[in-house]
Amino acid sequence: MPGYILEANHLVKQYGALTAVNDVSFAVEEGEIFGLLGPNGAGKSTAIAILSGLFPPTSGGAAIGGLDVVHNLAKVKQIIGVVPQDLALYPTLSGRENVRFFGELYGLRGKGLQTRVDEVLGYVGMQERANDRVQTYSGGMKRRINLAAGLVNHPRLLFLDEPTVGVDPQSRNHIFESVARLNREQGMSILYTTHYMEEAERLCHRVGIIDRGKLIALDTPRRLIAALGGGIIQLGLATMDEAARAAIEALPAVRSATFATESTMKSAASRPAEVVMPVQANSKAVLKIEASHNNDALLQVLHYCNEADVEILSLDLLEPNLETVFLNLTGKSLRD
Amino acid sequence: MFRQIWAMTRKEIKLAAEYRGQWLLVFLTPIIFIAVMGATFGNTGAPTVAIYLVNEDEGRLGRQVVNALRDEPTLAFEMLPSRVEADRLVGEGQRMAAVVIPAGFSQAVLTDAGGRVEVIVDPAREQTAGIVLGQVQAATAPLLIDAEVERGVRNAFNTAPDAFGFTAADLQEAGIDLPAVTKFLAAAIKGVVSSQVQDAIDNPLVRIDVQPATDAAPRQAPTLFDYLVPGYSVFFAFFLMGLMAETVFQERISGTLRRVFSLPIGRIPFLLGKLLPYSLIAMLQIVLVFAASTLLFDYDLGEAPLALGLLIVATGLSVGGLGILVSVLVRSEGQANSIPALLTLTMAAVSGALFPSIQAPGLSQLTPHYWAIQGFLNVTALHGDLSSILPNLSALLAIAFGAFGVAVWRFKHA
Ligand SMILES: Nc1ncnc2c1ncn2[C@@H]1O[C@H](COP(=O)(O)OP(=O)(O)OP(=O)(O)O)[C@@H](O)[C@H]1O
Ligand SMILES: [Mg+2]
Repeated sequence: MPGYILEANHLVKQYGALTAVNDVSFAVEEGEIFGLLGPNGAGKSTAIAILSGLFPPTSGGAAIGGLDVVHNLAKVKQIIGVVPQDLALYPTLSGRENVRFFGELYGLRGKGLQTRVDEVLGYVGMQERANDRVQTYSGGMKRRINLAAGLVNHPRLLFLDEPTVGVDPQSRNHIFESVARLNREQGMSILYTTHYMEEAERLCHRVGIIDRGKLIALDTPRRLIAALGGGIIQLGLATMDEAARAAIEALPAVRSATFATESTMKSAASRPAEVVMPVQANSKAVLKIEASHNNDALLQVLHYCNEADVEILSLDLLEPNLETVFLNLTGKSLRD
Repeated sequence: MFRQIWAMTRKEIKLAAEYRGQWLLVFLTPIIFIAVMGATFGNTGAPTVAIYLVNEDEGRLGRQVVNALRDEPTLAFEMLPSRVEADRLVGEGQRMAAVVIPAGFSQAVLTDAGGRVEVIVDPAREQTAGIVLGQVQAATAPLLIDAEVERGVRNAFNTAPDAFGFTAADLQEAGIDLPAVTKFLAAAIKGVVSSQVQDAIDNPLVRIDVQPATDAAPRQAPTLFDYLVPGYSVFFAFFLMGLMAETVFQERISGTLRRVFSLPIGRIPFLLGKLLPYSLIAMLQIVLVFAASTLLFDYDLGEAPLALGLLIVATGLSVGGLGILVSVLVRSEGQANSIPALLTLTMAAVSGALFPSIQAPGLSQLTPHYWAIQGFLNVTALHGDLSSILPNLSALLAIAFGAFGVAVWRFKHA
């Protein structure tokens, strides 16, 4: 049975009245890529800050490699690598100088340092421009050096905090491949945060979905999607017709049908970073239908509406993926 | 830990190298200020007074006066052909005075009326010209004594042989060559008189003994430069505090501070890694400003290189210590830009770094500037040794480590 490289137990972090991380527990297996998926402000970076020992949790605890993060911090720091969400680099130094500097802080020196710096620059495909100043790089190149700097100490557990934000497709692919290779070839365990569900789906063995500080789901992407069944059908109706809702929910291929309530929509709208789920301008009500099978459900719903003379103002078929899982769990979109 | 501090130091110097303006401010401006202040308020070495000299006399004495005046180190002469021109130029204020040796001076000296050296002075600067007059008199005194003796002897033979009961004719009859005797006597008397005068100068009846104050080492009075060089060097070195606050603030907002603290480095090595590079830059600045001052202004470095070196190190550390404290305390870019500069100016103003006579007596001792400048003065101009600056070293190190301690205590990385 594989051991756990990281165990987080009931982590809480409070900023005054705001609970940024709210009773979060999860464990990352040795050799696993674990994704923390959540929208802006969900608490992903805060969780990483606690786990990498930047500040202690308000309550709860965590262990990395069996070492307590608060009490054994110095040892913990030797076996983790942190790639922060912000480009934490010195813009007037070259990429190589940046990576070297962080290597030196780990106590590396001489030939060992030299070799390791070249190695990680190779991983991220930045040898050619390594001697130019970071401020002359493109966004993607900066991201790659940012990644390289977190690898220099050969960490057992790598924290990657949204490593692809603001990155062109080419660099993005490169970062993906680097991460996958690190995991595959070196068995590096990785905690990967993102608010792009495709990334989590493509890269992560398991995904924890986090929203407003709470971990609301945790499983492999495949199982999370399977649990959703076929997908989601969104129906724009002229009124909140409770009879229609009940009838649709009773259809064989439909698991559940709920109106996106006025209050959900309002609270979502008051948070500008998030967009309310697509609601057609002239729709009065949006019925969210969870299907166990898309095609069947669609046919049955259309058939019912036709028979019962329920006017359909809009219709959206959402493909089954982590995005729809999140939408289903929270009633709002992951993306901004 | 030392490797981490060294890595930080090298990184920091590379980052600091970007701030070109700061380097000019810290390294070049002090030298310019010292030069300007020195030229305005001070002097380099003994003052020389430039005046005109006119010699219209054709005789031997005139030439001798000119030569005597030329030997006078504090006077610089420009020869003019005529009294008229000298009078005009002094009147225009070109020079404060002109010394004129009139035609027939050599003969006139030997007559009863005597010879006159004329000094034309600029009425606007009559007082200063008085000094020139004194110098001219001092330079010509031995010549005038010579002339005086010659005239005296000549008169004695021409008018007073009766007093001895014989006449000139008697002497001639006795085969004595009067002019030769006169010459001989004059020479003999001159010899005696001038050796007496010399004696009186060497062994005056009223002796003025100059003695150093009890307990004080023999020393020279410090010149203005002895204050200005350490004053401006230290004053501008403290501008490094602003650069420190700026780079720490940049690390804070760019996230590198957080990143560094996700690595196994403690706050003390981190802060030492910030303190050390700027202390080294400050030390380098003092060394360079002192070296330049030695070349440009004849600045005297004293005789205690070890004491001087320790003082430079302690001063550099006090810059780094206070700088790191300020860097830790500022909370916004605005503060990072303004507070260190304000502090730098305030400390300089109360400490006497700007000008020796400007300082706030009670407050000055609170500034590292005061202890550094007094210390440098002790070692350089006053030629003190290590023991003369122990209080200064202690005060500077106390300020450096005290500030660093508070910085470690107040520092927040997240
Ligand atoms: N230093 C702080 N002081 C107060 N509140 C904070 C602080 N840092 C974060 N927060 C709040 O904690 C919550 C979680 O922030 P966090 O940065 O962890 O989110 P995130 O999931 O990383 O979001 P993003 O995807 O935008 O990076 C947010 O509401 C944020 O405003
Ligand atoms: Mg974040």
